[in-house]
Amino acid sequence: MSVNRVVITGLGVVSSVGTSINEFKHALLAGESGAGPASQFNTQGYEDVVNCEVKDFSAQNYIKHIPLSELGRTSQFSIAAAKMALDDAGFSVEQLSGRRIPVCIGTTDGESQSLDKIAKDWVEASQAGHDEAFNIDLVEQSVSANLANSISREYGLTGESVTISTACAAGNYAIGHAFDKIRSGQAEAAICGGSDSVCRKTYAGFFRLGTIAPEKCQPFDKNRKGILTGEGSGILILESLSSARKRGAKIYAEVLGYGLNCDANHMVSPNKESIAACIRRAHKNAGIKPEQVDYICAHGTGTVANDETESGAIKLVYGEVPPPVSSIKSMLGHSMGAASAIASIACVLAIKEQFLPPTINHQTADENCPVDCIPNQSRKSEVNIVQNNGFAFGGNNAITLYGAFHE
Amino acid sequence: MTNTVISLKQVLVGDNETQQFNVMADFEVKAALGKKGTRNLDRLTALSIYGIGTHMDDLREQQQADPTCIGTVVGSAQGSMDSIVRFTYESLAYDKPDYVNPALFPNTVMNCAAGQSAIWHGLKGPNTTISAGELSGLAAIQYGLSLIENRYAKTLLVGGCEELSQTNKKAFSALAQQYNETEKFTEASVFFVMESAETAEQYGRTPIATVLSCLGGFNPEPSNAAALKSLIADGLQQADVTSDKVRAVSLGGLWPNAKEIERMCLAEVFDEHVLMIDAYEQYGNANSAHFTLQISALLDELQPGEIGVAYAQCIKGNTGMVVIRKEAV
Repeated sequence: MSVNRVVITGLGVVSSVGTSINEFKHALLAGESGAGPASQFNTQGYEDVVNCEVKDFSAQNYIKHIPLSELGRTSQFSIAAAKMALDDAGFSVEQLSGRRIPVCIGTTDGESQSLDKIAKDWVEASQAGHDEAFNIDLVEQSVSANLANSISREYGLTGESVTISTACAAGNYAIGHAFDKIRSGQAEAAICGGSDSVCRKTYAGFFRLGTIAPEKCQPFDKNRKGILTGEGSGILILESLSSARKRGAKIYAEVLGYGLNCDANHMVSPNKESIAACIRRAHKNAGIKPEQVDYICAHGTGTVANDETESGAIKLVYGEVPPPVSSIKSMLGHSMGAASAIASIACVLAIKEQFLPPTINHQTADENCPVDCIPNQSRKSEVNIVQNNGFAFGGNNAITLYGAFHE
Repeated sequence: MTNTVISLKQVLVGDNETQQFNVMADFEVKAALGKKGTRNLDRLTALSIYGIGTHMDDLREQQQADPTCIGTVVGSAQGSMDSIVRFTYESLAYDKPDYVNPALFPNTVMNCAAGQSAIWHGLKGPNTTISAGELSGLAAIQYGLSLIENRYAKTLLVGGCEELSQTNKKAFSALAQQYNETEKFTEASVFFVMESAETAEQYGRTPIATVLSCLGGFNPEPSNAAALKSLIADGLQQADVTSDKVRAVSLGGLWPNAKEIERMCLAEVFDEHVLMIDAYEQYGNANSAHFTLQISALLDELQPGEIGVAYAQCIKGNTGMVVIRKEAV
């Protein structure tokens, strides 16, 4: 089997701290927060809901070939981020149409707002004593496959089009799958990443579990109170080195490898030893040693359990002095299936621009999280290899590794 | 051409195909899996745990030697739509949204079936849930092949699983009306054990079939047969098989539009004597599990040494095809 080097030639992001790579980069450098009052889902029964929403999103600026009424919010995010990434990579619509380019998008909740609306209609019908059929437009919108298919459809692509629904690690899963397709020579280029929208279902669940922070997300802080729900999309264009060279494309960084495993232990509690095993798998796959890693972009949700377990797992692999570890969820909230894809973009920008994104809202260190979390301010630094952690309900771990591109 | 085999298969499907919604009436969660740990499982998750469980005795020796080398890939179009929609429903219908049952929240993530199956059976290898509408099973097979060939896992339980709950019955009814199709849907839990021929031999499992090629695609013009036809041609070429060597073809047969395209490809690509199987006619629409049923029906028809092809286009434009060679009965 041939083994191709896999490089990143395009990036696109829709997030609560910016809907362009430039805005996003500046937000990471400045340590901006995307938190604000909720307006994008039905908050009936809750008070003062704070989350990290995408603001002022104009789908019509990005989507040309599909009627917007056929698309849920998450698919709209996907197409928008894909358009930015494809433009960034220098692919024209004409170059793409009819090509068998794979599209692989991770998600936790798919078209969650469409599913929320189906539930709301059902409640209202039940309360009025009716048994109404589901609204067909919402049913059509709600299919998870739309997240990848909407990109394939918008660009006339004929390659594999799949949505990976492995919850909050799904973005890394999707990037990993695209990486394998290119590394093994099955594809020259791939569109991959993750997308999700804020929704009532997910807010209600995390709220009931007591894991929603009241106003800010403080990963690795002694007084951290949980997550803020978030949304967005991060899309990367992966390409074989030979294809990138042939096109004369700019190269942001190289995908070195990734690792997957499953705790097989508990649906919602993370497992230190299993995460450490996944880190080792990822390092082995990428052919690197722990001491080569300059920065870890943490899963870092800001819950008591995650941050302590993750710090412990990092210590198991890296010893007493691991590389700096920060959580961009302090700025973006938890964008679920998009999270590890958007974090991958942060990793690539860290390499390209030679800085480390901060963990904002940091006040008091926690002795149970003994990491340098790059508190509150980004840091200039030499960044060659970075590790991006993604963990999910179901005990699913997916960790990607990126490196500066050297000939 | 791949070196990956299907060494075990198990098919659980609705037991009365005259029903519009063909549930597995005999499948009851507590009876199938016991009372312990099943109180909060949704039906989709239980069907997945049970389907995977039918293979675990055959994998025990390998699992004891290395629990991290066995994983699962579950094709699921939507997770349990019932668990998802009901959770929101209850948050709206009760006096306070906080009255939702937190123990049911994990059921609302689409990877619940795969995650719970891993916990139940101790599967510590890669654990992936993949969605491509009615081609979710094909997507799972293609993804699983990639994991095996790139050595992320030695042995995978790969399949598709679908429940018929009140919620997705309502969704399916709306779709049937929209696409002018009769309501004919089935529950199913179909899992294959996939691995390299060497791993099968190492653990004494006799391959049922070799997967010669597997290709997923997308048809941006769903009423035009060209994209599917080109995919089939490429898949045959990758398998190093000419169309006249194909003994049987298994079609998805889903929805009038796709049905027509699949038949056009059949007429244009394959020999007129090829045996045609229509999984929809045989079982009904099994949504997430439909493509795995197509493969199962194909394997049932082939004799050792014979080659078969399964292909389909789904309602959302996903396409896919598999070429297999039957190895043993």
